[in-house]
Amino acid sequence: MNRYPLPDKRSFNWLTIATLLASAPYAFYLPPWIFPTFLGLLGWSYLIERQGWQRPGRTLLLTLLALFLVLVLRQHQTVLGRDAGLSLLLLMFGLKFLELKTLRDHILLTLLLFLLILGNLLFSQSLGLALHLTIAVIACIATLSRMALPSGMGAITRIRLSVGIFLKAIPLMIVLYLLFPRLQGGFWMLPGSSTGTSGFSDTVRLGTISRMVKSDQIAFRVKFDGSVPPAQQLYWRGLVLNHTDGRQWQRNQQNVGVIDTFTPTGPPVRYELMLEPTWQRWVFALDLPGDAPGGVRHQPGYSLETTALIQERVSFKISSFPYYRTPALTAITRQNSLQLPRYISTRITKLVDTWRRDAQDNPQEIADSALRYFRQQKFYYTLEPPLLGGDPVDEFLFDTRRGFCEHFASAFTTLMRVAGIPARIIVGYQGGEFNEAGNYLIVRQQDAHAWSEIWLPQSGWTRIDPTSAVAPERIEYGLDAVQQFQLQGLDYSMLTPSQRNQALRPKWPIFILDNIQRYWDAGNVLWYSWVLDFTAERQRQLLDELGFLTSSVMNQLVAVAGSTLLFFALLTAVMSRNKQRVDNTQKLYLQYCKKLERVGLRRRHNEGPLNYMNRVRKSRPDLAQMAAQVADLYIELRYASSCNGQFVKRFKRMTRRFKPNPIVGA
Amino acid sequence: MSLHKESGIPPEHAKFEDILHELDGVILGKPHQMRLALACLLAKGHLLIEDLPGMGKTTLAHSLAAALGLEFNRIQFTSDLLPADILGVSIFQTGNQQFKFHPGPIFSQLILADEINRATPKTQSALLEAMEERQISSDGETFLLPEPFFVIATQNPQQLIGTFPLPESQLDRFLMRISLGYPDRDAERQLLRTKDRSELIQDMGPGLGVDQLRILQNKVRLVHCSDALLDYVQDILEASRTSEKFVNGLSPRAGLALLNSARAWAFLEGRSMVLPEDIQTVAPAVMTHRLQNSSEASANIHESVETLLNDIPIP
Repeated sequence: MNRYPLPDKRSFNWLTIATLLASAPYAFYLPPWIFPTFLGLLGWSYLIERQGWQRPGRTLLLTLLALFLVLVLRQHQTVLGRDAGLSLLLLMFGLKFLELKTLRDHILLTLLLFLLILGNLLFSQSLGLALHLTIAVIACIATLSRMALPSGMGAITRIRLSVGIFLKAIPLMIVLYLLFPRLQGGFWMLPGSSTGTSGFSDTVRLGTISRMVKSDQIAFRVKFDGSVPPAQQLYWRGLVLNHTDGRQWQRNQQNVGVIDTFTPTGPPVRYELMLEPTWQRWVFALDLPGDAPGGVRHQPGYSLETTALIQERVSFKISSFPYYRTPALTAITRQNSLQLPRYISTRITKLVDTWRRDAQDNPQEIADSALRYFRQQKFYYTLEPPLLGGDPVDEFLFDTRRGFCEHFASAFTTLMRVAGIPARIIVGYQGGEFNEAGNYLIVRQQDAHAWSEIWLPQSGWTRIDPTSAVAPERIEYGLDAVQQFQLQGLDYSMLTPSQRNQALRPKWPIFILDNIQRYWDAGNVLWYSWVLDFTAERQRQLLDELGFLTSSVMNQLVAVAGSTLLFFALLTAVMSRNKQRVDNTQKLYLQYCKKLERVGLRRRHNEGPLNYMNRVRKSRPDLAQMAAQVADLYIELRYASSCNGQFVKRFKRMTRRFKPNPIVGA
Repeated sequence: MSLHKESGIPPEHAKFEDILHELDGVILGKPHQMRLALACLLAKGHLLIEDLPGMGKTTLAHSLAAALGLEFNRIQFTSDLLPADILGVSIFQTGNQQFKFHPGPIFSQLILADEINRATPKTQSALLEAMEERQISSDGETFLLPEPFFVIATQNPQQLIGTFPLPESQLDRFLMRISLGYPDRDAERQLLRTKDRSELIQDMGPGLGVDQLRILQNKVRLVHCSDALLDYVQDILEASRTSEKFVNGLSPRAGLALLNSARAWAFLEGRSMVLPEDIQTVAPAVMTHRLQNSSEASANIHESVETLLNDIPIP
């Protein structure tokens, strides 16, 4: 027979639930066969535990282990590293379930669960996962309590207990978090992290942006120092595209290193830009960014780029100047900005020639004519434009007339170049959604946008957004609004502003969901800026500000050890204070008894509080109520585990004020 | 009273009030003893009832079994009763040429060991060992006794002829010893007037049930004992050891017994914490059979225990 004590049946249930909670996120991170296999092992152990199936022998277990090793090796070519290591850990954990017999096994496995919980953080440190893992930790503590004290506690009490334990650990957790030496560099960036790309690449083909806008993934968040500029100014400049072959637009690589200058003509807008990882270098700043922050450099065309790939969330403090004037063009820029595809249809040249004649070659007026053309002809803004053939600009302008921002921008830019006005395409984002909950702007992939810039002699580079001529609601309210209006069959230009708002007001279930989403995102930002962004650098700053440490690893470890000791010392002090409180209670009670003694009701030294109270009640009905209250509180404070400060105060007040009348009432 | 509202224990003791009420209808005029007996079973202890014949010992055991809804077996102890008569025997099966164990009457949730001091020490110790281990061994094999397992033993006062008094070491196995004593005049009058007791027991409700009982027993374990109260218990133990009135002091096991009984008593009173009064109430039942007066001349053991308790201040 086994020497170790056996667990009761329910312990297994608790352990299983805690395990499922701790391991569930792995389903998303590990190769698809791992988690189902793990679940299979759990199911098997359930059958062993509940249906009395035979426990697998040592040979079978070893065979399974070897099999898993081989499978993991085949998958990852290694058993080390994050993915392979955790796959193996999970599978071996499942195998361990098959061996569960004694209470000791159960407790061991529960303790190992904490390792499994930690492993999750190697994949992601998002707020959602952190919350989930908190629940898993609490479930683990509850499971341990189930094994230590198997009976007499309901599930709710048990969970409440473990939440209490968890909360008590928080102060120590914060101290350790602040002081424990940060592991520099790529601890989290283990090999095998995903390199999923989103957002822009160097080249924009017609259709690139209309693909992008189908995602509501967040591109970046912006926190403005002052108020948010109006929507018409929210153009987040990404890439400047100069070179076209008629079908696609590309960056011009020739003048890399040339930094363009400009003269601000108004005050700057300051903001903090928090970029999601894009695995690219573009930094999306408002037109036109001033000085580049650290780690970012200027690119031709007033765009910004980071020096290293953006692999994790980064934030930059940027100031931009919405009002500006740019100097005269260099010969090479001028040449680049007038480059045209090899073939331009006669319909286009004819059209442009009419405009030039009407405007007497005034570039501003030619641009206005083009915009008027977009507005007056039946151009239609749509996310599903028809496919275009060999000469897309021509087909778009004269035949299909249905397109998306990139169609308009590319057609407009081409028209300008044909008219001899330097022009280029800017891609980036436009607008954004303001999150009141966190007081910041969220810009999503669906806000991706393309617009044009033309060079005018009096003002230099000037932003012209041909989309706004066709679909002003896109600029004013965003892409969702365009779809809203189209769905409701409303013509934007015919509506008054209040009617527009009416049409855009979300219906209530969506409204609530929107709000939840908004708060969730705000929580995420706080989580990021308060927890995840606490880098070695910021730790050093904090320690310097606190001024008691130079931040060497040794000093920090000493501080960690010291504060841990301090924490437990405080804990002990609090506990002994409770004891003191008990003693204080006794003192007050004895004073109360003394007062009663003076009126002839001496407490016998072996008389318990209830007996004494009953005697007082019998002989002095006038004091009965008081005596009952005092006895209640005394019992609660001395014999129940209550440390309620309210009770202590009330007891003190009651016993102090107690002045029994010496005359025995009838 | 606010105490009951604030206590963590839901009004489960109300269930016991019903049970006690029912029991009071069967055993007339002895509510305190009934309550003690119930507390003893709630604290998972065995009960010894010591009284003259005809005081209702058997009826008490029987009605307790009915009230709690437990399987019940009665073993009448006599001087020729053998251990195997209680535990069971292995009998040779001619069919498969093997011994098969036939469990004895002890395999039941509640045992009434009637007149335990009539049996020989050998038989007594067989029962007492089973009580302690909650399992029995026969021919090298071990058999677990049912759970829960209670023994209510009755005993005639030792002065009677033809009895083998239980040694102190074995008396310790019983959590409490109570005696019923003569009923008062009114109760006896009612007893004479109403139906037969065994009929009344048959009329009792379905009882509490094993699962409920187990839950409640677990709850009893959670009744809070503050440090101040533990001080009190330790003072009592120490006083019993230093006092010259007793041959030996109380054992640590007796201290645990005192605490657990007090917990169960507090639970029956609907409280979530033990008070000194609870200790004082259960102390005679827990302590008297564990202590012996040192000199024959002094008063009986009940009085000695009472004096002891009166001398110890509540800390």
